[in-house]
Amino acid sequence: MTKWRKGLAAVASLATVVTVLPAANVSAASAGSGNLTFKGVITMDAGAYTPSPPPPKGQQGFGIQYVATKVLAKEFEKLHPGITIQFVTSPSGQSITPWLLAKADGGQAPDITPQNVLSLSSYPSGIFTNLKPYLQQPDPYLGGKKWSTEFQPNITAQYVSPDGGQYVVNGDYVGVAMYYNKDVFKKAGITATPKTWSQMMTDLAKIKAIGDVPMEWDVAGGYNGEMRNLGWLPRIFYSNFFASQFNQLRYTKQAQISQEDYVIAIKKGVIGTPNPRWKAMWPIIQTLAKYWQPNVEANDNNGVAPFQAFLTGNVGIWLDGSYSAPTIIQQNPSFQWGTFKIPLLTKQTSKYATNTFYPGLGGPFGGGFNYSVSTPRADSSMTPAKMKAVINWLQFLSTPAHDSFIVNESAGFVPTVIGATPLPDMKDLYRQTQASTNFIDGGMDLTQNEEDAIYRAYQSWIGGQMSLASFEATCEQQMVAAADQLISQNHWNLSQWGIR
Amino acid sequence: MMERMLQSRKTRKLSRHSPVAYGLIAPSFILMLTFSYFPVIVAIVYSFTTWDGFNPPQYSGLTNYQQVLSDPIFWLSMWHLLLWGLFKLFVDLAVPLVTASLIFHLRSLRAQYVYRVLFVVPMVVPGVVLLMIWSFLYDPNLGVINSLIHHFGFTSLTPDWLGDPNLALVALMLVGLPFVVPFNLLIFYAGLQHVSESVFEAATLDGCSALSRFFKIEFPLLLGQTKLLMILTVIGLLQNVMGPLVLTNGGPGYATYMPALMMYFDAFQNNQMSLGLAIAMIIFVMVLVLTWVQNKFIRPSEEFVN
Amino acid sequence: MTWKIIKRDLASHVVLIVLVALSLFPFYYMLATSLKSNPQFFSNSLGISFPFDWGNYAAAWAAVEPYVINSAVITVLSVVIIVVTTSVTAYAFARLRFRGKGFLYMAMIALMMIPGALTLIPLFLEIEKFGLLNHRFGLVLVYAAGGQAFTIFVLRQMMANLPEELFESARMDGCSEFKAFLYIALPLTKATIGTLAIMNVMGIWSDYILPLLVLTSPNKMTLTVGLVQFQGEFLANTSYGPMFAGYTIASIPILIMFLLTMRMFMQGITAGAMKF
Repeated sequence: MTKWRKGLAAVASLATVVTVLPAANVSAASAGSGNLTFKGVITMDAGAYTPSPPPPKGQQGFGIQYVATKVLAKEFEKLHPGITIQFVTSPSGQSITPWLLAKADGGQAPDITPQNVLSLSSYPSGIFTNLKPYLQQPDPYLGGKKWSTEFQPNITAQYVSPDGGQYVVNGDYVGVAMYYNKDVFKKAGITATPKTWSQMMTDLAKIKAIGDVPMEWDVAGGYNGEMRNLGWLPRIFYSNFFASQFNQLRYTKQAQISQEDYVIAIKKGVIGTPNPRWKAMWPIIQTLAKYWQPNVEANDNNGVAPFQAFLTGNVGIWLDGSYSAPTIIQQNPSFQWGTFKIPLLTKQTSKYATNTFYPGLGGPFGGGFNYSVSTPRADSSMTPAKMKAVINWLQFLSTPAHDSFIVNESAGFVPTVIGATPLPDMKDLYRQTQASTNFIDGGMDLTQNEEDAIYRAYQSWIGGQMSLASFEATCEQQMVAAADQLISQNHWNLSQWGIR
Repeated sequence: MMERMLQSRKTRKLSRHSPVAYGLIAPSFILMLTFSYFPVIVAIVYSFTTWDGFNPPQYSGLTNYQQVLSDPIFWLSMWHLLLWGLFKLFVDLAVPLVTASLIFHLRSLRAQYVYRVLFVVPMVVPGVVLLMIWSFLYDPNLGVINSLIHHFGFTSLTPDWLGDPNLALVALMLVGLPFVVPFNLLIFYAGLQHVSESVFEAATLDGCSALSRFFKIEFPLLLGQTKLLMILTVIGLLQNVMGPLVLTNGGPGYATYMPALMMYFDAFQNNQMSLGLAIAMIIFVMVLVLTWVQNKFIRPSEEFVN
Repeated sequence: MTWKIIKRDLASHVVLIVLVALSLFPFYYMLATSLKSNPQFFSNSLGISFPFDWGNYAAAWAAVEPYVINSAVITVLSVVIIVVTTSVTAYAFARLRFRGKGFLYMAMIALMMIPGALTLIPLFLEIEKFGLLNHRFGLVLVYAAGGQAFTIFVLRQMMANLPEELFESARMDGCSEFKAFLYIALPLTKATIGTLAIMNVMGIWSDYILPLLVLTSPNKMTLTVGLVQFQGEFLANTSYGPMFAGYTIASIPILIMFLLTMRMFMQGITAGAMKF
């Protein structure tokens, strides 16, 4: 099957090689670096790319050793004497939000923090800087071209917030794969990986027949349940079902379907229960759910249980992000495994299927290179001169060479900046990031409240506590409420679409 | 003989008004006023506003309170709290009490020491780690609990404890089994030490069995401790955000939703800090009333009546 | 302890041993996991795996070592302040009469019922206003304040339980209030004070939110912050061994404290048997 996924194994072993090679020539591109008047410390919570502390003497490090951001910080400090980059720690998991909120209230937030665009709405407005104006300014590391020209338009389009601002810059991309247990497939008499959804259903039935668990996947997603992978499902289905209506759904004529477009579509009944095309995916999921382990898919177990289940060797297929490949390799399971693409939805599965393959399941959101800059209100040290320096540092980090250097260390992500080079085995995934992939969500993650309520209804429905009809009714109710909330929050005038 | 002993302990008087008391409590109250009361008062004030936690709040009167009290999910979570609370009040008090009594009556002092140490050792396991361990135990495929069930031949009975909506709350309640809460154990144990030897001697002379000794002497004399630990147990449960958050996230659906969790979500996930504060205030008033009621109706023989 | 003595309490021992075994399970699990490599953990999460992976401990120690002194100083100072201030306050509440006592006591109990997460923002703003940011002593004051209500609440109860006759006879002998506190109340509640001190040590020692909020210089950080950094690396690739090794290291000072405090209970027995 696809090369990049087969290559993940090789990639992870490469990771160790990469860490051994320090950044030799990574800053060759930086001819100019801009003039900065700021002198002092820039604080950065680099999230996933925080430099690893050096392993104790005579010991090997554990897992992947990240050095790139530290190496780059040293180079940056050399380019701009008087500036120091300090990597700071934030509490992990559940404590991060209270912590950052308190810091911001006291004007003490770090200058740069990692933020997921999808969960930005869990923070009050005014903490993060709208980077749009800065993206329009020349980038000294690009020879004076605008900073924005560095980013792929199709990814940038996904980073526009409902208010029109852009609060996060992105430099990496996650893929989603069907991991599969080759031994289980062999035992079940499956000779080739499924290409279409209906083939997959046949294969799942075969696995069930031999008594193994056909499929596992982690709906809860993130460690604190904040980033729900539930969103993957609508994306698989609606990108296919609504493919021919893509342009029609771009009401406000932006490169991708914006939050505002979803709101309009929901209010018009194009997205939501009034449209049978929207409703068509759920019965298919219900059929699929027969092949999941009962209740496991309704469980918020820090996302570890499905992974551990896959490692037991009794699970046929496991759906997860590309970031998991290095971890599986590290566990060195006793069975053969591989990956295949999300199967194509065809007319055999639903009359609404359009044979359109949406290759880019996954995306930039779950990556580690997603950085926000605090506003002067949240970070009293952020003078205009400092802001210039912070932007300059981010521009330095996001040059193609530096982005590649940082992201390739992870072995589970690919760099997304234009001109960046992925690891050789990640090339296919990289191509996906560049394709002008048009994806369509179900309008189910407009606000945190809405997403949470729909997610809980989904759990109840899959767990057999709620009927399909009331699940759909909950979705509709929540989506309309979220749409109304966004309309009033952003003072949108949607009268030209007949919505008031 | 026993009755007289108990009685003599009941009749006690306070000494006269002592102004020196203000001097004694001053350091504590200065610390608390500065670093505890001030933030709490700010929080109370903000509960009457619309506030996202960062931008300027706007006065909104009782809106937050109305919204919380009319939310069926709030009442559902209160119901979960009540169920869990009753269970927890029973096990977290009864098990340590019985255990303390068993240890206290061991004849070997060395054995008493060893048991006390062994029972408090689990305290060093941090809460996060404990929850992680329990999530491993409950794991449907690799978890010890299901392995045991499997081992004893009930192969069809291996549920996903935290994922089954009918079991999730029970599974949460069982976290901490066998419920020998170290702090409670030590408080009961210290209480037993203060029961005068002569009371126990009298009991032995009266030919009391261990069981009636427990119910007739120890339990009544430890009512003061029981009352104290009851309040602490309720407070602990009310503030337990991490358990449900880490193990079930309040799910599946709303099956393990709790008031504290709802408060956490409103404050830190849904951008409605003031709503979270209002939930905290509602819970606060409820506990205060409960504490008052408890003070009024449970009057231990040991308690020093004001 | 001879067999004969054990045999007389056999039933109790059986029950207690079962309870001990179940209670100790999480501790055992932490220890066992701390010595496992990742493949060992996934192939056998419950049992003990050989060979022991001592590398976990080396890595964890390297991560927390620079912060041990900071943590120790902050914890000890805070708990000393807590013990000194709360014991006199508890004594006043338990044994003295003064105007406004009931109100002050209720107000103090009420304090325990407000969840800390929600007062974090105003508390932090206050610390900032007082100029205590990045001061370890500021942290000590906040912890000392935080431990008050709970400690006073429990200790008051214990002191109130002491027989009044002891104090009366002391007063008749011309003992001052302070001496009565020092020579009667304190020795008789020593074991409880020890327990409460441990509870406070546990809370302060393992807190990482406040150090991360208040302290900004890396050289002032506490052990748990080192652990959080360390843990961050391993949660991502689900390696529990090094993480649990870190927690085990952090628990050692507390274990030693347990051994000492439990001795206090031994002495408490003779004190408790005092005639009245």
